[in-house]
Amino acid sequence: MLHKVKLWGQLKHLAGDEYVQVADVSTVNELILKLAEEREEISHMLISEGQANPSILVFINDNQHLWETPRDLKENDSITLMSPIAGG
Amino acid sequence: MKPLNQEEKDTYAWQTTVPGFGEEGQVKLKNSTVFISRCGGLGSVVAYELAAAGIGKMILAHGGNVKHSDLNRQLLMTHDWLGKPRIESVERRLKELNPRLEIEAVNANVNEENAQELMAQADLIIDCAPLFEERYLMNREAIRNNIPLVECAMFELQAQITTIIPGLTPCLKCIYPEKPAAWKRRFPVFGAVSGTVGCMAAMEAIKVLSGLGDTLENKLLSFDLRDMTFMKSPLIKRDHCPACSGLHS
Repeated sequence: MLHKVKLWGQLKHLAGDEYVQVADVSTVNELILKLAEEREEISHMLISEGQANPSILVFINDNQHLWETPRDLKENDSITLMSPIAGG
Repeated sequence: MKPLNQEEKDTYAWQTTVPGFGEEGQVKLKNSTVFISRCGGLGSVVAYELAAAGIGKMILAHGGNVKHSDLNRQLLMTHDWLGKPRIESVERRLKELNPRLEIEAVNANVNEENAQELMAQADLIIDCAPLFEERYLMNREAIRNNIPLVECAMFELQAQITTIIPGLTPCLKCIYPEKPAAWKRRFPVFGAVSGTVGCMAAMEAIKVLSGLGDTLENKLLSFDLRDMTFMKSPLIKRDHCPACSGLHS
């Protein structure tokens, strides 16, 4: 199964793409780990101490999802990953 | 509560006719104290809109001197104030707009030493700061003193805003448990982006203080002005949040 993932904030900026595709993963956690493996330029943002970074906001079908909560991905899930932003 | 005088009734006539707000809402704003840190691209616009709306008192924290690179977005800074303290420019511009506004202007950013004293007397905190150390301190003081906190942020053409009510909604540590290692103090952004989300934060503040409308409690509004997409998403309060899990609704 191929999942289309929307990137937001610094993730989008550093990846240079608004959308990326991740194949052959079945959970949110697997998706983040595989994306970090495939896209070196954003892996330092996606991973913290060997695990998915809890400060990356995950939205599935516009609902927030905590990566540590097990969830199987479905074919048409709309997935967005947001990196933290701030004022200035 | 201090009532409105005739000048104030005249000044705010366009907004006191808003359904659900009225003179009662205006009196609440007049008797409110808002803390804003910092008064840069976001905070300048928040402070200016709230000064225009008739907030009674602002406590404003912003250190440093005006630089050329401030002037694309920090609308309370002016070219003639280059090299001089930003906070003086902020106070001067706000007083020009609303001489009735009481301002406590602090020439420093939020830090461990001043955080508690700066925020203890506020009815509302508005986080417009670029560094997560400062943001977590505002979150801590909001929780400690049970003060609502409006959180706004931006990057490039994107922005986010939410309203935190301690004990009832996710706090900043629920949303971002760890300081992002990759975040840099300087980042790409237009003043029109900070202005957009700054106006939203000011409106959110008016709603929180007056009881008007529905606020962004438990919701994150994210938008991208590159293609004008807006998303309002429910946020999750973390059961084991180190900052707010001890609070009960």
